[in-house]
Amino acid sequence: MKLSLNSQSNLFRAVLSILAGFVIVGVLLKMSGYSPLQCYQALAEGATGIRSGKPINLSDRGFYIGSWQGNFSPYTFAQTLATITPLLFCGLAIALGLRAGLFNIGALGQMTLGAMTAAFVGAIGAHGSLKPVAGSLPHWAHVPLALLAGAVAGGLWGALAGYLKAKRGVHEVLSTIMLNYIALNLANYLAMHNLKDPNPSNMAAQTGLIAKSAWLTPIVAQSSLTVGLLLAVAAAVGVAFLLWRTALGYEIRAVGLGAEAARTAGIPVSQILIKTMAMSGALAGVAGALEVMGIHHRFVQGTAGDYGFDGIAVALLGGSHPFGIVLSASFFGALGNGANFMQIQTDVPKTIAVVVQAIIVLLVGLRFRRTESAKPLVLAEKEGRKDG
Amino acid sequence: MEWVPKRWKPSKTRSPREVCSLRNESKVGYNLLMSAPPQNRDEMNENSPPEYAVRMENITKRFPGVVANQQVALRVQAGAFHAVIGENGAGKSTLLNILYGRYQPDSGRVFLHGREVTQSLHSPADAIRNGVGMVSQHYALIPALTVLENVLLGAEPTGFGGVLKCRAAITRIHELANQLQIASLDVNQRADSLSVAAQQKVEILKALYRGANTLLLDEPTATLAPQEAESLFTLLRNLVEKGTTVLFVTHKLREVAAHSHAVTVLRAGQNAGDFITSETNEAELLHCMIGARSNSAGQPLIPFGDVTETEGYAGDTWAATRPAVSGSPLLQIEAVTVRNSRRVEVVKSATLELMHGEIVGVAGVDGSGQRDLAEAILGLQTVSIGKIFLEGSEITRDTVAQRYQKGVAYIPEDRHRSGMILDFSVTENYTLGHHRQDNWGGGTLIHPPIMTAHTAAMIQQYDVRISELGALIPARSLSGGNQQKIVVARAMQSAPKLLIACQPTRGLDVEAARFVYRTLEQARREGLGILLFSLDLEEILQLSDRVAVMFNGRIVTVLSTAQATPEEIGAWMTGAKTGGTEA
Amino acid sequence: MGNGWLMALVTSTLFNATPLALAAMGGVLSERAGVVNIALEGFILLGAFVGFYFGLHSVFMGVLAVVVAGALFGLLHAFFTQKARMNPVVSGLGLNLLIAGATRYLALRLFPQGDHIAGLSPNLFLSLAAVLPFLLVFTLQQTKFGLRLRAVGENPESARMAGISPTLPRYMAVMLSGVCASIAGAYLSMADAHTFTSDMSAGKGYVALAAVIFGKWNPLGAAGGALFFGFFYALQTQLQINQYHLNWLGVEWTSPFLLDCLPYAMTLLALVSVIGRATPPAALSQEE
Repeated sequence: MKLSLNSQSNLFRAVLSILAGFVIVGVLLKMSGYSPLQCYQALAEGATGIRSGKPINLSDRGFYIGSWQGNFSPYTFAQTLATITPLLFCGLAIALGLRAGLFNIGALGQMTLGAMTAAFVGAIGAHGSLKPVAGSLPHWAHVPLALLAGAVAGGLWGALAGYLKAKRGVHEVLSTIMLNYIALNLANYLAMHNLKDPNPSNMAAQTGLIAKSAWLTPIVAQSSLTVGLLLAVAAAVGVAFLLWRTALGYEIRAVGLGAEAARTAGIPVSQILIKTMAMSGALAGVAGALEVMGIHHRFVQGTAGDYGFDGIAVALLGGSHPFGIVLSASFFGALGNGANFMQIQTDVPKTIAVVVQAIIVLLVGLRFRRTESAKPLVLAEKEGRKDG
Repeated sequence: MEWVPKRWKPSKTRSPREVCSLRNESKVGYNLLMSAPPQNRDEMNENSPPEYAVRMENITKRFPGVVANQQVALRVQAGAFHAVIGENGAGKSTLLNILYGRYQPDSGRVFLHGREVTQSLHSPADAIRNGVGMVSQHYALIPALTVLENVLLGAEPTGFGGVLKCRAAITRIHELANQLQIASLDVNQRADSLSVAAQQKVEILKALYRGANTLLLDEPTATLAPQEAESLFTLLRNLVEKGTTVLFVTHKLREVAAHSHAVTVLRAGQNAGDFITSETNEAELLHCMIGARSNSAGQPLIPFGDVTETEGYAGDTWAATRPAVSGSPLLQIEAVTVRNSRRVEVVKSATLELMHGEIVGVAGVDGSGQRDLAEAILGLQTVSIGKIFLEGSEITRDTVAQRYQKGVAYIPEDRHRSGMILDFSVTENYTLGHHRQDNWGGGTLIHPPIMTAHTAAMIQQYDVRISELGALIPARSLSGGNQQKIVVARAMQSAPKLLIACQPTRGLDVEAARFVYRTLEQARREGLGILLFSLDLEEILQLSDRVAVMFNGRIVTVLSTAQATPEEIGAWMTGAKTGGTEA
Repeated sequence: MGNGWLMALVTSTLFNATPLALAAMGGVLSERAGVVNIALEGFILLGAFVGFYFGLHSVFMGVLAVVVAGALFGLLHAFFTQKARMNPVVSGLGLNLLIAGATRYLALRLFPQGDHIAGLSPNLFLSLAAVLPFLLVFTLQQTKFGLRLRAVGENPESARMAGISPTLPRYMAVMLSGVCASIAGAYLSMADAHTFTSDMSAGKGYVALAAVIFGKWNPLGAAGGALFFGFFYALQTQLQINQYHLNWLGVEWTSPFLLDCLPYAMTLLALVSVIGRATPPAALSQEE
């Protein structure tokens, strides 16, 4: 794999941004009357499942931690790993777009439609009125089929934004935002009307349960951790392979770094944009399908959560590199699950994690340069002589 | 610095008041300067009174990896018509930009009319305040603004609340337009509706509107037809006679000889000599410009000397040495019309034929549709009407990639935007466009080892100078000449039949330009047909077997080498002559 | 129904267009100066929060705080994109995320019960939204600031050559943009809902940006775009209020979920039909 020469400085920048984010939020916490250290300790405990200091009894605060193994709660750690899964998929989705020079803000919508479609396909053979096809499928066929359905739905939704960008010139940020709202409402409509849970006692917008044959079994009892995490890591390797070992990936990077030069070299830029958005949407769609198959076993309103937007932070912190994204998704997964834990333990609203995330995004994006070197570099090449 | 500067100073020292009075009696000032060559010019007197409009001393300017100016001195007599010459890359533009406040020198001092401004020259605004105006080659007027807005920008007359007060300004602009003999200037017209030549005149007007007494021009004739250039120099000469100091940068010796009073020569970022124009000649200037690399005085700017010696050719131009062109046409363009994204016809019913082993030059004023025609042949722009044939088979509707496969190759005009991806490595750049070919291991996957091997062979063959980090460094860090070598090498890699070369030597130093010319000549001898788009008439005249001229989107004529004189081409370029092949 | 329904639709259109138009003027200012401004969404939310919180004490304080906060966050966006050379989309998204997270956090801390305020008359905002586009046209075309703003938006390098620094007009434009958008937010909390709820901007900043493009970066055109999109917001609410019912081909067309799609779908359709014929300020597309 090609490693950029300044990857070390990128890592340094990322670590610095994270530290700065915690310091700034620490000040905010202090100002609103909390003890930052206590908060961060709770955060760390929630993230790792390892308790430090005096043992805390959380069950009376309504937070399930499963069984302890010494000072370690496998369940809590498994929840962190489970949170990493959709973050990793969405981060990869957004990074793939960024490699082609596209800001895919639409992971939310793509994930939502992926989830809804997986719920629909997953219902094959289920009890109740939500049955696309009569008969049932074996586990080994049903799981891939539902995942594939999620990928296709997310991919098509992404490809739509890609088409609008490539052929109609609609900026992808605007189109994907609009497509997010449409997808959310569309999925909720289906969950409320045509595909509504047949159980009459249920008023909320949600579908019926999917067939058992499409369920993913948790790796740690009761947790949300499934084989999905392995799929996510495999996807990271796959995206890396795509970008640096395939002709398509080469073309994606060419379009992202110099669309005009790519076009001049005969690369069909429009097609590349559409394909990239389709693949990006497919990754987000799989994330949605996994949420349905591994956690809720049905589509519920808000299945996609904030993962679509968190993915932006994941991709940027990870430097749009698949392996960097594995690290940054791990970090944000830990942050997210830790914040849940912290909210229970210290009453700090978990939304504070979003503030940390925002500060990291802003700091990691900073590119200070000496004012002069940017443009004259080109002029200098033209005007000057190579020095030595 | 081993050269001995031939500095000169005027025979008589004048007080600033005298200089002023000279400006009023313009004729006298002009004649004085021309007829009374200064004596004792090897003598230096640091305490001489400030009669220089511009004095730059020991200017050094570094860019990352490059020394653009090294200990450069420039002295311009007030009221003089002063030229700065040198090859591409000699540091002329950098010097001008320092004087205009766009770059700050790393060391050195700048004086304007005897007053040191080194510390206060931080931006063009500072230069304008000091009476300096600049007509730049690239960042000219803002296309979407009107002429009036462009002229006023930065010097807006305002009333209460910052509201623009244009009436007096319009009167003043019309006065200046009359002075400059710009006929029928509509100040409410968008700047991009003017021709390049007219835009340039508006730029001069803009500088004068701000009260500039020193006018800097960076390669002012690079994009003009000969007649337009002549008209520009007439205008500038009038300004000089009225007392304005004009300092222009060029690499065209003919202009220097015909129009300037004094010349400063730069070579490789350093002073190479100062001359009074009337006391020197083109050969001496050329020798000074090119230095040890020239082996005889009077050698043409385009370095055929090398080619003739090493390749065994004789004669001034290749055209004279060429075998007769024969056979079936390689490329046929039949009544091609191209519309841009705003549905405006940018190429109008163009017809042209190109044979194997022939170079056809396409001349024209900048923006006459050359780029659009080139892109239409490549498939980068859609042909609205008409057909294009390659070796008799139609390619009008083929994709760009298909055309490359059929043997078309392309050297784009804008190296940084279209030619390469600056953040890609050398290897990745060299692979661009070939990445799906079999002999590159292409297909679904790419094979870095094969890419690396091909690139290493190319680096060897074309003598690309890269640092010890090798072909993994981003192309951004290479010099312009080395970047262009990669672009040219990439075009030639797939053994093409047709080469579309757009301004292939733009911005290159002599050595890199020689490489390009050698490659073109080699390709032509191997039977390629080459369509050479260039704004440099000299280049076109030297290289082409035939010259097509474009004007306003049309190919107005195709001239044989015998017919193609600069004057004849110029007449067609500016629309002074019409008719021709188009019927 | 009948006439009353029509009147209600017209009024509702005007008031739905008000925040869009105000934010769109911010979009015009920023984009004409060559700075992509996705942060409009966040600025709206910011204005809504600050206007509500300080408006609890006094209306004057609320308005003042809205203007100051908008200018400050505008300054931040200008700093990030100009001085720190951050990609404007990244800066905008980061600011949106920051404001969304911080306002939600602060709302939970400061008024968990969800207070209400008397606030301001919506007509005030409506009048402002009606006058501002004309004022902006005049400013852009007839003043020194407007000329410089357009110049740096078209070509910062040429502007520099003409002796003006692109920095000042751009900072000014983006700060004013922040002020406009946060006033739009203040309308939502102070004049419309009389309370603050998290994420109450609900994509209006992006729709406003679409209105800017729809109006070809022209203030009057953008205001027209705001009216156009405002109409669909109004249609959606009026259909919901009147509990109009339509079931056709087995689809509940009047389900709140589908009606909620309406403004966004129309925005997307409008963008698809307009773009291609519109020329953005030249420097917008060159920003890296």
